[in-house]
Amino acid sequence: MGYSFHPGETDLLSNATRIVAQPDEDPRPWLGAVPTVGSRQLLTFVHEATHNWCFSSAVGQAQVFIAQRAETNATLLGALWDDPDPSRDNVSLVNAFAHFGSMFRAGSMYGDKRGHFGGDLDRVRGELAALIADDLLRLEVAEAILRPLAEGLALFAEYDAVSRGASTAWSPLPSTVAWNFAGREILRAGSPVAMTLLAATRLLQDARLSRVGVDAKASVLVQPLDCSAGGYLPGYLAVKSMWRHLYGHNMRLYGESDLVLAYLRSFFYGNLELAAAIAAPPGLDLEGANRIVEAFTRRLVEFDQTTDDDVAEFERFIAQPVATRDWFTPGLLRSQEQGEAARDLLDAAYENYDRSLPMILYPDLGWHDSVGPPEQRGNLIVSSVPVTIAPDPDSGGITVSWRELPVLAVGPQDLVPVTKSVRNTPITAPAAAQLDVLLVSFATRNGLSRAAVIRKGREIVACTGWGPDPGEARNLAIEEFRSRDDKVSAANLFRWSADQALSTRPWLSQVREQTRSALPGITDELYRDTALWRARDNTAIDNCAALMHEQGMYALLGSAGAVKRMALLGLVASINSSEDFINSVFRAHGYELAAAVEETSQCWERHGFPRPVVSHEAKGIVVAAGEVDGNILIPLI
Amino acid sequence: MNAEKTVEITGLQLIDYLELAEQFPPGTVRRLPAPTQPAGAHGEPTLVTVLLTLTAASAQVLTAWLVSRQTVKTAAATPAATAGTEGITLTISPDRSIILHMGATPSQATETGKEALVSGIQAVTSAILKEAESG
Repeated sequence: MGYSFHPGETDLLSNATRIVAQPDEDPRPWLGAVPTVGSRQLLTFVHEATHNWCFSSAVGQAQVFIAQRAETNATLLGALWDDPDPSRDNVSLVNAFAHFGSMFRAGSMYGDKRGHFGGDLDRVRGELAALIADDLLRLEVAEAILRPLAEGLALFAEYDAVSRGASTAWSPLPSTVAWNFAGREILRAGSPVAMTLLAATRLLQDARLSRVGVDAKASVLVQPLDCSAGGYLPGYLAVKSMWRHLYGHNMRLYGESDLVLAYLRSFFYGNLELAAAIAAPPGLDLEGANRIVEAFTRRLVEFDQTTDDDVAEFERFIAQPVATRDWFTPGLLRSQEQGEAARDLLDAAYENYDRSLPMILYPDLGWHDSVGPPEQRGNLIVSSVPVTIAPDPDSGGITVSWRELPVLAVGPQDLVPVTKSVRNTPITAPAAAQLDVLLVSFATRNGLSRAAVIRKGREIVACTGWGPDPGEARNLAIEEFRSRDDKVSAANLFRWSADQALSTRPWLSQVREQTRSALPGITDELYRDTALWRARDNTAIDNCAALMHEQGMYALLGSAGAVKRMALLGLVASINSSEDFINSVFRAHGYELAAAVEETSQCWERHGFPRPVVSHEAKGIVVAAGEVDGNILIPLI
Repeated sequence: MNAEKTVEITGLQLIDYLELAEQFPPGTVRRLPAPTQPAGAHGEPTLVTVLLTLTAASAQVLTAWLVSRQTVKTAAATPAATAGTEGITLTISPDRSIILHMGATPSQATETGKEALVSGIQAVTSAILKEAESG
């Protein structure tokens, strides 16, 4: 018992989410026309929703693709492997792999293909093992170099990003937050867009400025500046530096931090060249991982060229309804022709897979879509719990109980399936089942469509939908549905079978270990300069990077109290940078604003990072909360 | 005689650990290693578990630190019934409410108010110290 884990979690490959620590998972607030979740889960929800949104992208999909490709190649290698040696135990990895292959051959309608290669069989096996290794290295390298960015964007969404009532474009987060956390207030407001955005900002303000919110952000600031420790601080500081770069061009973007979040997500996760480098056909030279590092480094360096004009172009694009947008996203430092060239490369990688050896020899291998098709990756699972179901003779439907409490009455119209050819076993007695609640395609539907899927064993027995079109929500949810546990297990299987395959060639495992040991240094190098972009000079960057390696900002500021004050300053200023407002929040927390500003200045004097708080005469300047008179304060962190 | 008694505190934010470590003599607060997270898992920073060496002085500091937290909501188990048992654990859940497990299983936890929490912590720490001194 205890909480020594992520409060919430998102799995990269399956995109399955958990937004509450597992012992506390309670589905009830999500089971109704208007969710009644309350703010307790809000910040974690925003964090995980951001992960889900980022991983539902060209770059995220490319990572899933190579994991699937590695697994398919591993299955073929198993099918071409020797028969298991009955005299050896199955604990031996290679013999376990032989058993795996033997079972596959027995189950496939295409049978044993080993004779097809004659004396070339060992060469083919060696090449397959190298291709698997190349994909595994790519997967691990892509995951490692993108992790700090993923965490940085999620933390920026959690602690900084807001929209204004006058915003013209926004990420999916504000409306998702408003519609799922504002309760009935949002319905009473009649839901004009401005009210939705303001409701979200108000909810985020309450959560961020609470003591829990301040402590949570302070805990990010004292994380190691070390990418092997989760990459939280390197990623968060890098994203804050990028925001600073953009609002340095145009102060309007200080208040439009949610738009900046959407821009950064598209700039990196929507980059087709990076996706193509990840998905490119595997090679025997094991060089694929290097191409990924090069593509990401190039993109990171290019960010320096972005201006507020690029963001404005992007803003006009995403202000259009999703259904009317072109596939090409402007404002990301790429022309349409460059975008088309990258898209062709990506398509070629996917098509190459269709012509690969596994597909030729065993067409029944097909796509290993056990984590669900791409469309399912956009579903955000907000709760997944064991339940019991029992028939309800009065309604003809079923009653769903969680911890012996009835939590959902499902009418007969929501029993599944309703197809003519297949009908599930009728529920005639109480039975154990699993309840998953999901926000259906949350990023494209703004968190408005929700569905509760009840599954007994492998069968979906019922699904209830909510939102503007409950029937559509329901249909989309059950189409190729996978529960959270199924998704995560399937994703783990990708890694398992590829790991097994690698055990057949020890030298490839050694290459993998060497890559793993080099990765932390490579990743630290990638992020360090962006994270400390605003440091005084190169000497300050070097010194701060060394000082912050273990305890982040704690090493610079010297006390937990000073870190908390710095955390609070950034939290308040991103909502409303009016000095008067910041002062009032500081007083409510029992802190002195002047002391916090002075601590930052002293830190700058001593270490050259972070920059001192900037004070502006800001008559009429519009920041997140609206138009401000008097002074505004802009902290870097 | 081993007079050293420890309290395990789980569910802390990293800043809590640093704050606690500032208030106790060096070596009194030990952070336990975090469990390895599954490959591919992303999420907010993991919460922290610490072991706090309990002495008369540290018991008072711990009590004051817990009391100073504004969102204390729950505590558990009746101190008198479990005083002297091993395996005391304070679990701080993500909303910062506190559950005190004193050799009892979490399911035996009972909710009490802030006042009861304070007296509960004081009673527990006194009982442990008394036992340690008599051992």
